[in-house]
Amino acid sequence: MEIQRTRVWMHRDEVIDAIEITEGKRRRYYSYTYRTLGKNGWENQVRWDNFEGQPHVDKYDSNGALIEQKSVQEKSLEEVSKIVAIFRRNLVAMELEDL
Amino acid sequence: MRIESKITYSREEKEELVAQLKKRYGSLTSLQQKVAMRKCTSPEMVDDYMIWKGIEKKDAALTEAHIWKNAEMMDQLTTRRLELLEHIHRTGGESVMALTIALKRNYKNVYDDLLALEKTGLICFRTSGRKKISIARTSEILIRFDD
Repeated sequence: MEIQRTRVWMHRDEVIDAIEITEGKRRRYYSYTYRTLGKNGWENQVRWDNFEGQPHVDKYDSNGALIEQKSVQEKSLEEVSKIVAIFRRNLVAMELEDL
Repeated sequence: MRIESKITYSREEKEELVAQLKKRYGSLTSLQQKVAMRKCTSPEMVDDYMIWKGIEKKDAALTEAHIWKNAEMMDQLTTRRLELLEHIHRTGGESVMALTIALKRNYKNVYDDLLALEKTGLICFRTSGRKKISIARTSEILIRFDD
């Protein structure tokens, strides 16, 4: 089993924190959280994960409260990095299940 | 451009991580219960649970990478900071005062540089008595132009 933690710095105050757990060639778990640096430290904005085998995307408000959860297809870190690089802080306003 | 640093956790580092998780959540079972109740409002808890569950397994490898997608990182890595990072890596970890003496630099500048390196994930601090020991978290930084 391999556990990989990755922090992708998109900008000084924008990161994607990723966790990937793989067993052999199979990816058992992933989470990719887009965070921005706010007055209270790193604040969650959007998160893709497949906890309990259900791939979904979550959106958070500025207080860290979950505001929306939708089912999406499984994503890779590369795909999420591309989406974040395009939309950056506007990501929260996007229809993420379509991306 | 893609700048990347990667570390593999040693057995001691994994044990230290488990100790931190135990201190924060009590036990894996207790964390599992918290996750079941608060998985939507506390995603960090879900990640901690998955990591803890993973490293409890025999032969689990834990690695950590920092990736910078642009050259912004380069202005964080000044000559002085790279020199500091190399020294910390070579010695295995030293206090701020020891680094100040070894590198013949001003204490405050060394301290500020260490904080900047910590922010980028290249070093971490461990407390030993009243001393704050800087530990290198990477042994290499790669720059790729193929991205």
